[in-house]
Amino acid sequence: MTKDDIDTDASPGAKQALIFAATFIAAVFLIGLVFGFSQSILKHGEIEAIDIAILAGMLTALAVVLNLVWRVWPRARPDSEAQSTIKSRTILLQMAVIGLVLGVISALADPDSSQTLFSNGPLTPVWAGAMLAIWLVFLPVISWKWWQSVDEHEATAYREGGFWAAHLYLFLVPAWWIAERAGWLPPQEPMIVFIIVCVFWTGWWLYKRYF
Amino acid sequence: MKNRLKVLRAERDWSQADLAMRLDVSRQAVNAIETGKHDPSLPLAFRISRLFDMSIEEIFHDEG
Repeated sequence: MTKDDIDTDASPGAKQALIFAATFIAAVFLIGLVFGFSQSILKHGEIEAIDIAILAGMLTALAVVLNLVWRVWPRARPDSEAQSTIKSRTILLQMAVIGLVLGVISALADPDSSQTLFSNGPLTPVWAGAMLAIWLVFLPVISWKWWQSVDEHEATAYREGGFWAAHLYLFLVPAWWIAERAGWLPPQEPMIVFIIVCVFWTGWWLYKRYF
Repeated sequence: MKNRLKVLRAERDWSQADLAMRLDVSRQAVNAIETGKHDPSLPLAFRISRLFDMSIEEIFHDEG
């Protein structure tokens, strides 16, 4: 088999990327679950054996998932990958870690948020300032650095995903607004719309990048 | 747009990853160009032509 034969497939890295994304999301979810459950136990004041068993089960699941994340963590291979590819992936991972930090800050700032997917509860100025600093200073800078590092194929995939995500937003928001006024849907939740648009954009971008 | 990238690469016994390293793009980008899913920009087309020491027209063909 020549080198030409072995790599005509576009997506050998896609499987690893999907497993990494799934395990990373599962880890974030489990961390939130452990945090929320611990908070509710502490709130009630009485720790029962069943609570400890549930918490132990959650921590075991978290350990298994973290182990999986570690095993599929994309590692730099300077001898077989372009420098721009390594740089853009490193920046993406930095953004994922910042997102995780934002999630943890958000959970710490509003312990009741474990009751709902996205809490709209009040925040203290200190927590709000910390989150805004990350969201408005660190993330834009690191996003710009990532955009400068990607190759033109990935930039095209990302741009195309953004174009269709903008159209999704264009149709989704007024449709929800109309359906809400007719009493068919609950009041519009900006963070839900934000997540739907982001997931659609990311899905399109990764599909065009790997398939 | 059709191109001879895969043939030229095979003649040199380069994998897609080898070519991607030389062009400073991802392996997926090389695959997308080879399979016609992505048309390279002019700067990248010039980098490719320089790498293979050929003109752009010798590598890329307009299907029209």
